[in-house]
Amino acid sequence: MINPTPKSDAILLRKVKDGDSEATRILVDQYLDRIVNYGTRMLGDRAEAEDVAQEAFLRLWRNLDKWRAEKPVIHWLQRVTYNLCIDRLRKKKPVNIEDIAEPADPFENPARSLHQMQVSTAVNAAIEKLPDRQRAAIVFAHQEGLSNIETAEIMEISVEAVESLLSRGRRGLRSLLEDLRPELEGDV
Amino acid sequence: MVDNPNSSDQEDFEFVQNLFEQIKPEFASPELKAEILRSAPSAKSTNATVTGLEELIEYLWPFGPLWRPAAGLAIAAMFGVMLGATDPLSPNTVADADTALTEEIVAFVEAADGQLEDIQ
Repeated sequence: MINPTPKSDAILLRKVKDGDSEATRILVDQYLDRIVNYGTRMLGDRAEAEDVAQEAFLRLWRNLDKWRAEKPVIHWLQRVTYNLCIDRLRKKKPVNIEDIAEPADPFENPARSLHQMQVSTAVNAAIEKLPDRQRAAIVFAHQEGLSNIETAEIMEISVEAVESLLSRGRRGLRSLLEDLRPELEGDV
Repeated sequence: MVDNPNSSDQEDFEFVQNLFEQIKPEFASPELKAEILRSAPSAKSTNATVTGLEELIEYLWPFGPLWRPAAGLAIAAMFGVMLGATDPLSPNTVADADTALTEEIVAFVEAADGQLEDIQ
């Protein structure tokens, strides 16, 4: 897939604005999964992440007239998603690690799937235990592959603040998951 | 949180990167995708749903659908003005009609004159 640029995004958005259904489908295919994935990691709840993703896209449709080809669409969507997630987290009660649902029964390759689900559950639980801004920075950096500068722009903080959040977040995750290290490294 | 004095930043980075590589990614449900596509602007489709008539309208009036009703209104107004200018009850029109009627009567009388003589 060709990497989208601010210019190619702007062309795509102009078509979306004109009601081009094919362009809309391409845009949604390109970014929706990433937004849902980010929201799920931030909120720890798939249904809430889908609500946030829907709201982010609705805001995008409402802002099509004002769009300027300066930044990639994904950065705009990530910033909106981040802000929506932070708003929800502020209203939400703290998550207890024991409240996290058990994984579903695996279908294929049971041992590997079960191992992956256990790891996913443990990692997700640890990520959820991080403070909100540390979690946001960690997910942007390690899941979305953003640079510190991009993360700083989206979170509207300085690069130094991002570096600090990442450093504390990584140390925190490592501390929380130290016991699982052999499993995480595949020694099971 | 317990700080691990033996861990370097690079080790922390690699540890967390390894974590994220093992997490199962989440994908949007088809229902969400359909809902978002439904909420998108949908003025027209660029697929082959555009008919020949729509293409002709687009060619003749390329200013978008908002102007089409305005154009219709303007044409209707012009037609109304033209009708008003050629009012059949206006004095000029009545005079022309009178002249035409007189000419028709004269022509009829001339034609009928010979026929009456034959009868007598």
